Amino acid sequence: MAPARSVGLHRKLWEPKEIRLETWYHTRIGPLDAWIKRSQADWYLTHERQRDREKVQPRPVPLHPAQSSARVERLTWTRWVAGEEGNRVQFLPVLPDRSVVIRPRYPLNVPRGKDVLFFVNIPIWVRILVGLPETVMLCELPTVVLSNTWFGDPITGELCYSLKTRAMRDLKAVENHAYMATCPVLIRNQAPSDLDFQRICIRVEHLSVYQGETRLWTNRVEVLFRGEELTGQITFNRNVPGFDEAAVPLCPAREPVEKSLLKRSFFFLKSLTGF
Amino acid sequence: MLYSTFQQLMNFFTLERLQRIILVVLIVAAGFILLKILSSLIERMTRKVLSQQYNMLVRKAIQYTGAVILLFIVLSLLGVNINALLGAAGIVGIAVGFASQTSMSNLISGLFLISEKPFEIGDVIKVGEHTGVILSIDLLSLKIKTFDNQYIRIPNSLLLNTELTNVTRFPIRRLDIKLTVGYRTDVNRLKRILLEIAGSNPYCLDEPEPLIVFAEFRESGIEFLFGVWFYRDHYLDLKNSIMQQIKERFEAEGIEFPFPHRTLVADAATPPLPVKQVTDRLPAKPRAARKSKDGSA
Repeated sequence: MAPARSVGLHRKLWEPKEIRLETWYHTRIGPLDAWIKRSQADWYLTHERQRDREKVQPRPVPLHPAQSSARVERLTWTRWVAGEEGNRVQFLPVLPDRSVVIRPRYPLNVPRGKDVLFFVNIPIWVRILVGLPETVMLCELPTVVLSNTWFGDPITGELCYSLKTRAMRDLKAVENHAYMATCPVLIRNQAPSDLDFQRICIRVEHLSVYQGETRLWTNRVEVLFRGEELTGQITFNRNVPGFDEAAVPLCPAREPVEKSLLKRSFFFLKSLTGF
Repeated sequence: MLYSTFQQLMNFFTLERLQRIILVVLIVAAGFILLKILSSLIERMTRKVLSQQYNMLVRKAIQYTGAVILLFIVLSLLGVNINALLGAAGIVGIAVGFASQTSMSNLISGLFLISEKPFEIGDVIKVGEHTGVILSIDLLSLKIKTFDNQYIRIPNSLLLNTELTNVTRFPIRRLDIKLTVGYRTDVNRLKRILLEIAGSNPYCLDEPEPLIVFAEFRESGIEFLFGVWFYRDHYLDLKNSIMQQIKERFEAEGIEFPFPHRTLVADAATPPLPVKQVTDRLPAKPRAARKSKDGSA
């Protein structure tokens, strides 16, 4: 569990902030350090990522004026033409732009007739918005560069991100990081046999991000398994996850779930679940 | 002289003839505009239903048929006997057919290729020595742009008779890297390192899993095949990054890429001949020995 002091910091990370002209502002979200500056005519942005997981600073740093620009000077900047949008900046957590294949470190066995709920932490991307009242998106930065993987057969499958993680059953054991969103996954095994799965594909583009009391959440994903030969069913819960009473919507899904999604899903559900 | 020519011209361009010429020009202009509109309308209607090649085929068929119809209208307006012309066209057709065998061969090959669909516009293909992106698939030839920005036209008949590789047909591919390491290398450790390299490269797909094959005992070392899967758009990113990673990691781990070498032995029963490195500087000759040799000093 995160210390009480950093709970406020977690929330502050995603709050909009007015910045001064010609001043570099810095933020740290897990392994990602980002700097932003507004000049009269342009927006400047640069970032750096800590690749060594051991060296990642656990304490997030909300947007603040950078002490020194020495570190920024040696990085490559990206520049956007600024309009009349003002000096307001907001960083928002958003889920990756492709589906994520979760590979639990230890395969999970779901006995027949049982429901299993587990939690996975998905590294977020940071969406950088500027301006008010009309916001302009400058770009999106992944906090962690996930490895690619292929889901399905080599001809009709799809490109996804791969995430090796621990599928934790107990929420208290789930690590709490500012750059991770916790996704509750409920598997209902209604097949006549046990289910031993090695990986599961989560369509994160249909999931929203919520700001909880202490951590970021996504909608709950429910997978109904009826057997290898039968189609399953995936449901993306539209409501605020029930594990955190105080959770509020922070960023909507890239592709909000439509009514037709489930209908469309039936033909690829088997490959989607990876069973 | 000039006056007589002018007179002849004036006599030729009678009012009736002028009217007919203007009518022909108007019909040709209107006909071509109509054809253009018709072909673009049909292209727009069939864009989602047909592939680019079929779309092109339909468009060309409309244009050529329309042009022939226009020609007949114009000829009949000019008072040319169409029946006689059609009879002559048969004979001319045979003659042209003989003369344009290659073009006909390309045309028919083009139709076969369009129906077979071994590639589409935008695919990367390899034909003979050339590799490039397909720019257009026409009835007579295929146009590709090579990666060094050259424009190559390949006749369709050649394509039909040549082995052709469509590099980007499937979404994922495998990059095979041949590695030769010294005989002293711990094979299990090497496999672990290669898997770690693949795992840390974001362009390398986790699944299908990387392939490591103990290929051969070579003259100077053991040859391994290291195959990593990647998404077709990431070829260069993967190749550059993984090659660099392999080199850096092998250097850090002390794994050598062996140079060709020989082990010299006197015979089967004796160990290899000891080899000693000799420095460039020759040892100084003992003075006493020199004295005694020449006997002068």
